[in-house]
Amino acid sequence: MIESAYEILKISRDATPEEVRAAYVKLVRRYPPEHFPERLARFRNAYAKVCLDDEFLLNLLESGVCKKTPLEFAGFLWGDRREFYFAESDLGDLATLAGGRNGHTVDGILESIDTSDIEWRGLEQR
Amino acid sequence: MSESKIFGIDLGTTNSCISVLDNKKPRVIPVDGSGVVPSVISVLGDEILVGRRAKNRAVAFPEQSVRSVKRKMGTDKAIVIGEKSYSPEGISAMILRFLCDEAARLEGHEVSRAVITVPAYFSDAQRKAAIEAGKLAGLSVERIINEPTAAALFYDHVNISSGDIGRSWKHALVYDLGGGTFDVSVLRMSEIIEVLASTGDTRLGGDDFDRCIVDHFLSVIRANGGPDISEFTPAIARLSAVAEQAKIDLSVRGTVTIEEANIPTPDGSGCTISTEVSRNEVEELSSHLLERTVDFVRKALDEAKLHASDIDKVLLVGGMTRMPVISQRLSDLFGDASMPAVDPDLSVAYGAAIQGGIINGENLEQILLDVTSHTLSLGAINPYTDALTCAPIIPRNTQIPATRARLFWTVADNQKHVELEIYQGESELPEENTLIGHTKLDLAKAEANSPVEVKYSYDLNGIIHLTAEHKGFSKKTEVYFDSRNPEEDRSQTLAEDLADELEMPRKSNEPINFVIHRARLLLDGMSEGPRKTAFAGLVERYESALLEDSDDVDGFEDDLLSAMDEL
Repeated sequence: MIESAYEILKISRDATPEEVRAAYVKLVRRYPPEHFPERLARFRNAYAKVCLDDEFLLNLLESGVCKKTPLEFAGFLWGDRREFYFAESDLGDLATLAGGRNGHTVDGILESIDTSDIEWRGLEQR
Repeated sequence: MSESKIFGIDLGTTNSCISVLDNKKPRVIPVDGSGVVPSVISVLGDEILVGRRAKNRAVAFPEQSVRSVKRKMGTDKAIVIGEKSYSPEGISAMILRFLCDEAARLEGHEVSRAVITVPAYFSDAQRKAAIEAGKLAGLSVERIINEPTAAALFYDHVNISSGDIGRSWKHALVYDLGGGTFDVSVLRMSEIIEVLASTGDTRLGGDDFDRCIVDHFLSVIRANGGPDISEFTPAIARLSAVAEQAKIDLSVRGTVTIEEANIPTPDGSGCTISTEVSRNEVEELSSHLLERTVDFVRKALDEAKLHASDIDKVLLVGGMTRMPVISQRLSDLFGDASMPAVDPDLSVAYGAAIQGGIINGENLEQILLDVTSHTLSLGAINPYTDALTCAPIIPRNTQIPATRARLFWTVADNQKHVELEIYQGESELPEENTLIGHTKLDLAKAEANSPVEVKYSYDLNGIIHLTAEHKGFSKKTEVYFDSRNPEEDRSQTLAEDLADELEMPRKSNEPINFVIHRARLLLDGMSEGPRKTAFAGLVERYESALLEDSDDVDGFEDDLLSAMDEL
């Protein structure tokens, strides 16, 4: 769920990219990865989620997933499916795209997408 | 520090170097005179020479000497000297042992823990070989880190020391051309140091440039009616030494004269070479090698999703970067980016010592996020082709430590179990990648296409934690694999210990982060009194909020930081 990512980074939903970045850096420095590896993964997942461009994601879901299962798809993108699997309502607008579950179709679409690229394209301008 | 120092070792193809952190400043230990120790060993009867003496002897007795052993790391090629056979790790261990013994003698205390650097593009097998060499030398290898990253860490340290903390620049590219390996890394440097992309060639370096010059010499000898000695090892060893020296001289001069007599020949008569080489000639002879490195630079920029114009600093590392044509070529490519003067020979070793300080808590100021250089995938059946393929879970250039998950689907109704095979490598074909480990997950009764989530966690020490879960059926398995030692079964007994390690600060009495570290330093310098007591209260309040992960931690941190500003 998008909300939780904002909570993890302790920022408001309308934070600017600079504020998001500053919050992420502050947390990584507060909990050095040497001693808090799990937290780093959490911070980074949250950071990547918040930095994903909404419009890009919606387009991708609409065109690519054909209203099949945006929940699995989004979770896959962000490396942590569980939140999406159980919290459909938290997805807000995205949830209205949800349809039935069809494994092979979704998996086929996922296979054809270069995931390493997606995460980067969603990230802030560097 | 409660534990002993961690030394930093740059185990190079041509030269090696050992350093240590002294009062937060890295210092190279002047082993073998200058600290730059030739990575050469030579067998003299029962004695094994290492370093400068071995290098001198290697020119006359190449068949009793070993140089550039780093290029054989990770292979099972035996190196035969006389009647004895050595492994590449064994030879590397001799160099490590020499460095450590000499350092111990000069420092007056034991050297038992080390961070060893490797090329960023070293494969898993090559990294394991470096760890094995460390073990054979009796060292506890605390971490294997990437050479370009180490250099960047040192450069960042220099900047911090000179007070440039609010940097006016942010992207750096490290061009690391050593004796045998080439790496290029793109980093984002701010209050944290992040590697964005890293690539290279572990078989491209100064040795190849020397070889171009040697080939030129051989053709000169033939052109002057001399014998063909291209297959004769003693002659090649001699000419390689001459070529290397010519290359080094040409970094500061336009031409050099080559006058060598008594070059060994198979028939024992010897031959001579008398010629002149210019800098331009050598640049032309080796231009294809330089262009190969430029291709890697472009690839790294591409993978980091940056353009050459985004790069603010280019760091030149490795002795080869002294060749003027290299900095010229990079200037052409990067235009305005500055090339700060960093020591091309020592900065990697300095960086390794700094990483040692990060590990043992001496250095809390620098935070480094490096990346995986190879993809971790799961063997899965491609639904369209029915072939076993490697489905990436943690792609290369993912920052570590990393946790990523991916959904898979069962193929049959009431499938009993799924095989889980972890592969490392860039290919889709399992047989072209390295199998790191395997396990299986027993499934509940369910129809085909039921989801199984597979999650990998990859930590700083190369340990993979696999979690597989049959979604909605509470069937789950968790296994640990050490990607450095697949043959060691850590899955059973160590699982619990490792789980404890994952989220615990190592020593409770050591400061956890840089804020606390600085606060404690201030506290130590304060005279007893109500101000000190009040400040100590702030530190303690913040520290316990941090450990308990309480919501107050932000407010407490702000309070503490403003109190520190006032002091």
